[in-house]
Amino acid sequence: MSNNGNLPPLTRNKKKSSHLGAAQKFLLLLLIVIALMRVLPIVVVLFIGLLPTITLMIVDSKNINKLIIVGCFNLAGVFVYVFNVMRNYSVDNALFIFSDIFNIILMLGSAAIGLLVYYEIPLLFVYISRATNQRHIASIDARVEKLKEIWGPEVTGK
Amino acid sequence: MSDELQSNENGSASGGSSIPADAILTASQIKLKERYIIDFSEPIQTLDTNGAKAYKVNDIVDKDKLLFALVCSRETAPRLSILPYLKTLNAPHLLRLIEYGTIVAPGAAEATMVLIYPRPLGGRVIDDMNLPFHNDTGAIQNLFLEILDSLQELKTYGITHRSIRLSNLFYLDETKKNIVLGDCAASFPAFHQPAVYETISSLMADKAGRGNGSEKNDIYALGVMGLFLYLGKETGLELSAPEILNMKLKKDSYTALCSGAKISGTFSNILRNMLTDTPVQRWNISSALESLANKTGKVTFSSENTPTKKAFILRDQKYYGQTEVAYAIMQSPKEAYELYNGGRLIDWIKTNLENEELALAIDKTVKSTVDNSPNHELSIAKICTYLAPHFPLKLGKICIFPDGLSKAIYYAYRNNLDLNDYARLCSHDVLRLWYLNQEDIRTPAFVNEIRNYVQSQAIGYGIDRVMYEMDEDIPCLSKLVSNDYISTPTRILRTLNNNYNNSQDKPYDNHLIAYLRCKLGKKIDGILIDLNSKIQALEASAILRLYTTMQNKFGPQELPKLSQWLSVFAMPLIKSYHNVKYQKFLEKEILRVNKSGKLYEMQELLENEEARQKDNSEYNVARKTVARLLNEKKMLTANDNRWEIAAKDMAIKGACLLSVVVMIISFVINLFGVLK
Repeated sequence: MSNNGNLPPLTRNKKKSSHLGAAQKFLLLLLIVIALMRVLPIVVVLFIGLLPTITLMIVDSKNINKLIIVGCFNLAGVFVYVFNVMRNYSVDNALFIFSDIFNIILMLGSAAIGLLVYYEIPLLFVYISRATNQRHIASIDARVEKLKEIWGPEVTGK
Repeated sequence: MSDELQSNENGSASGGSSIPADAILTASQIKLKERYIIDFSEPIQTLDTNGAKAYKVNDIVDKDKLLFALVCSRETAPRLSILPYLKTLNAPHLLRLIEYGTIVAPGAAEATMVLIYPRPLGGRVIDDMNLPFHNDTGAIQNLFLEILDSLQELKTYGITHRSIRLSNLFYLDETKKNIVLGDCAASFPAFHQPAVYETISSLMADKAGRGNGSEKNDIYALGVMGLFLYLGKETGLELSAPEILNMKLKKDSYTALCSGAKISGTFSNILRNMLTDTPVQRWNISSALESLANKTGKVTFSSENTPTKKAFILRDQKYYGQTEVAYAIMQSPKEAYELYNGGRLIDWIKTNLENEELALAIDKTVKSTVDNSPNHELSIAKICTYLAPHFPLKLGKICIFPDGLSKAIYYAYRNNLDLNDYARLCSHDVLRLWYLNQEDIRTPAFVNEIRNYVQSQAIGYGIDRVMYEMDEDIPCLSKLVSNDYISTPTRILRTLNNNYNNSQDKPYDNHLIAYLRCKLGKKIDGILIDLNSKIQALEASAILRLYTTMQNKFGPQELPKLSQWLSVFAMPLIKSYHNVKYQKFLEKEILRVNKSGKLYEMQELLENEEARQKDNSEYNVARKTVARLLNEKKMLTANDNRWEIAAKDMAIKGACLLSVVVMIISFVINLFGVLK
């Protein structure tokens, strides 16, 4: 049938390109391992330091605002140790950082500050908004009273 | 005419015939129009007539003139509309009216009309009956001619006398040569006429509702008077009106009044022509003058009554003539209606009167009548207007001629009688039907409006409006001016001003407004609409406009008490301004205006168009502002926490931004630390 001039099916070519060879796979794995070995100190610091954020990503992944706030604050705390590791780049050093409880408190504490910000800032805003509204209502009442004095109670339309 | 009316309530001292112009009057004397001093301490009882009391009058200008005053009773009203004509009339055999006006008699609570006449020095003819006329037909015929001449003069102005009787006939001078008819204006027409002097149809009517009548009523009364002069006595006065009526109905007026006396042929025929009970056959003034002035001296009388073949039987009584039947069914409406329903009345008209057209007209009218009246009186009244057009209208307890309707209503008001029957009469088209059945009377234009007036509950309408609309003689019966005799709108404001005592409510009532609408005409219709608006401010505005117009037109210049009254009543008008400060300003200003008593100042103050427009536009702006503010407040105080949610959203966004900034700062600081 192919001799009749019809186009050959495309799937035959696709099958050929989707499969890597064994050598290729091995090479790719080797490269990944080498890369991981190369950035392992930073990965260790980030993984342990960002545990609150990772936890949040798992348990409350839909609350983007919360994730941003907690994550950003957490990162701000972790950056101190990431750059510390970069100065003395070794896995030992990375693990040494976590031997000091103060460092762990700082990293996890920054996430806690983020959580505090997420919960308390809106309440503060509501409080301020309420106070502003009360002042506005008092001002409206005063103006209406003045108009009632001039035009009588009918001016309110009651 | 009415502007001539003046009252002089501040009379005092001096008496006798030679009172100087500037003399002080005694308590029993009252001066009329700065010329005539009426002395209430000197009554002249022989000249009392038509319910009016006679008193001696002194003329300040012409001291030799002997006059007397007739002080009219308020039970009825004088015939105000004819007074100007009577004053200028050239009728030698009528007592000439010298002057008239309103006064408050000593000790009286209310003002009344007073008529000044020359004093008839020869006294009343009735007091000297035997002398000139007894059995003297020639003298009586001459008297007839003289009086007819004067009645003819009255007729040129469309006036009937209606007070022709022996007790109202006087010798003008002491020589007793000149005879005159006395007053005819002090009371309602024929109200004080003894029953013997009245025609059958007039006797059927209530005294107050006899109306002005026609010249034929005067001819009838003249005939009766002539008969009594001939007989030398006045008979039948002891009998009641129903007795006289029955007597005249059973026989005929002439036979009933002659009481069997023999009267010569020619004079008898004259009297028969004057006293015939069929108005069409009765002489009018022209035919009477023509017949009496006839030099041959022969007068004929032919009765055109044609007796019917078969009697109409009602309540076991037989009636033959059309008029007789009409009177019978008028007296027994319930039974008569049953006979009509059974077709016997229509049959009787067709077979005995041989008048198919009349039968058809009656049948058509009655069948188209919605008659809810007890005993079907309305239907019977309509039948009577066809059978006897000269009869009065009877409905319920009243029986009146339509031209006497307003006087009858006045009388009912004055005597606290029931007005429902009058209202019922006006509510149907029976009045119009009566006029349509009259041969020589045109239907007045207002008859078509009467039903609307009576049925309206609005102020300025009702039975009061009918009363004033139909008759110019009726004074205003408003309780607000009851102490005065209001016969013209010119006096109303002055009287209201005098009568205000801080206790009255409204400065108007239905009588006053109805009266003013009749006198001032259509131009106050707009005011009537506002008065009926049920909006207090509009009512106050309307009455202020009305009285201001009247003060500008009629005066007086100052009406401080009325002004005060109006200012109290105008409070809703002040309150109709929205600006409270302006209201207080008006309240202060109105006190100042009150003192001047000028109503136009009050009107200018309260009805300032520029101020009104400014007030309205500023008020509208204020209302919009308040509405906007209240809307804002409503949003702020709403329970849906929208503001809190918005604040929270904003706070979260802010916190996000803050966290990113903190992260970047931390990154930058640490980066710099590494680079160092």
